Amino acid sequence: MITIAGGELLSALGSGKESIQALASGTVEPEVICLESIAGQPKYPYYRIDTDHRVARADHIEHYLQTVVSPLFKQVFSKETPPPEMGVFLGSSSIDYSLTRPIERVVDGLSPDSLSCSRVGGGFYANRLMEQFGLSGPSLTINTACTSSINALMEAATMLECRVIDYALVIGLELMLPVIAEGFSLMQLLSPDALRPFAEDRNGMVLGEAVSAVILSREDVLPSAWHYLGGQSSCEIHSVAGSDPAGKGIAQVIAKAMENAQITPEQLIAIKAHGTGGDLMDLAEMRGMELAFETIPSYFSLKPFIGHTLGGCGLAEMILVMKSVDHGFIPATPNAWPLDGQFSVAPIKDNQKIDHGCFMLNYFGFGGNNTSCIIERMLP
Amino acid sequence: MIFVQASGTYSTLPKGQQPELAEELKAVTGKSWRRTDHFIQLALIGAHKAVGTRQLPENTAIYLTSGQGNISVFERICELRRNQDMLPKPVDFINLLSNSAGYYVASSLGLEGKNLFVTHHHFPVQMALLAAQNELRLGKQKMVLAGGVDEWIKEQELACKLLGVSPGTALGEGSNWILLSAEATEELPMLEIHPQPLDLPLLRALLAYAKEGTFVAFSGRIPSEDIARFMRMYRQCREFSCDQNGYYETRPLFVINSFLARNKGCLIHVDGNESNYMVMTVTCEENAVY
Repeated sequence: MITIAGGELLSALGSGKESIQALASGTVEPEVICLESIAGQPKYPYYRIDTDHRVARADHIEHYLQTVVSPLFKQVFSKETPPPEMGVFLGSSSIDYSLTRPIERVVDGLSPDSLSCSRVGGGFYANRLMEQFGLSGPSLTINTACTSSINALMEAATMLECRVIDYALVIGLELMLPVIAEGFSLMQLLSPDALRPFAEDRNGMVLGEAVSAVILSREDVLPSAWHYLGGQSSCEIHSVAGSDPAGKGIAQVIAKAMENAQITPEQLIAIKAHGTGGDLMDLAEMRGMELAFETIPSYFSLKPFIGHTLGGCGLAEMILVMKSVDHGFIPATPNAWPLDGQFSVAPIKDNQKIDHGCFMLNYFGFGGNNTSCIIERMLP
Repeated sequence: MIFVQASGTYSTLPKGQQPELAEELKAVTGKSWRRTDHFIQLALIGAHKAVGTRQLPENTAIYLTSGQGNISVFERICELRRNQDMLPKPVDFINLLSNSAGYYVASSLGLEGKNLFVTHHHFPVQMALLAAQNELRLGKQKMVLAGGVDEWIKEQELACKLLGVSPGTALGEGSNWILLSAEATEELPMLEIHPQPLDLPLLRALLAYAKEGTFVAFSGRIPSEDIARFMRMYRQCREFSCDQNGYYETRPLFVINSFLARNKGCLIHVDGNESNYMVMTVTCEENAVY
């Protein structure tokens, strides 16, 4: 049995108790930012992890990683030095962060010879974490768009099941990269005002930042009330830019996830939906749930609280689910009303008292990436 | 041990510009591909060379790895944004954000299983294959198509800097794929990824116990004087070297595929950074069908 021994999250909700209070009260407003890099770009709401506009995100990644990882090690191991053989698994849709500065400088006309950087690339930040904390286990960095960090968690779980490692540090990382926001703007996928999952008047995503970390282990090594039961990651070859609106690919990944986790639909207390507020994406997700379940369980979306944190959303939203249930509730979904008239079942309208049970976590992204998994909290 | 069903290789040393791949891509896949960049085209060529005319089960998993991914798209987008005040093309944006190369490989082969883009700072190939090996051993997958793709970029001085290799190093590009299974109905080559990095004493112990005639291949990151020392110490081993078509980070898959294409016996592949070594072992018995 894979255990989830603890988690830390830095998001627009903050990182401490204030995040639970905001989840419970449902009051979160994104700030409005301008994509300043390209002339004439409109303003969009955005969920930042802090409001210091002078901070260039790519230059501060290691600081943000430390902010979540050090307290997590203290929380789980009662010290800042974890077991050295721990593996590191990082998921992000923007694994090119470390390439950004050197390439920009050369594009700006500097000679490559003048760059002070050493080797960079997709695995750079996972490697830095290993160096900083003296870790020697295996490591993977994964980019599967919006499913990146949940796939990182699933790869870590496999490594634990194989007993290659006893502990895994899983990281979700998504910080503001102007090129990403501009790309979504170009594709007209961003909402100009608010993220309204499954609502009649939904009009796109609101992006956000999240840096998160969890420790995975096995029951025989590090027991925990939280378990990862299993899941499924699949490739839907309908389109590189989104799921089939008929929901077939989503229904398949949901069904397979339950099979792999060895649970029945009746055992699911609730589903954390992907719920992006995108017109076709929410439609595909609802159709997928309709195909997968005779009766759709309670479901909710967390993106109105922290935005769509892309590759980071897998872990960030899992941690929010865990923290909410640890505090005895799952949150209502803000901004979801009036519900789209095509949809038969609405998300949770009021906070629900829940302190244990099985929860399905769903994520769907570009590149045909569909992932569904199930976690469980034992009775307190 | 896991079994090698097939492998496919595209590897070249470009001369001054990225090779044009459209014709080869059409020859290998039987069709033209719109909205694909050079990196995706490389992936398609290598994957199709490995799979050939086989019809793979649709739940076959894909593990695609690369040192730095589709870096020419990243460079192009930076150039557009900073020098021309222009937004990226939508297709470039989608290809930058996700594992689009894996999507196109899956789409072209009709595969709907797990499809991951994975990487590692020092050992992208070894970690991707280790992940695949775990899935196969646990029975989570019956078959895995694993590939390593790296593209050549025109700005060679920058490329060397990003890769952390000496200026002037000859850089190549490649797309090398391997089809793996947990079970075999006939005698097939076997692959084993040693899951933990080895320190120098452990590597020496492993090589000391290698059987007479074992081939050993060393990655381009291991200094030539260290290689010479190893070969002097372990005289029962033979060094395996293959075509010098330039350095790229996923070259270890090219080495494995080259060995399988022309050798029988056992190959120990050794890759290393400052203090750790990752070891992969390929065994291809005389009666192996390959």
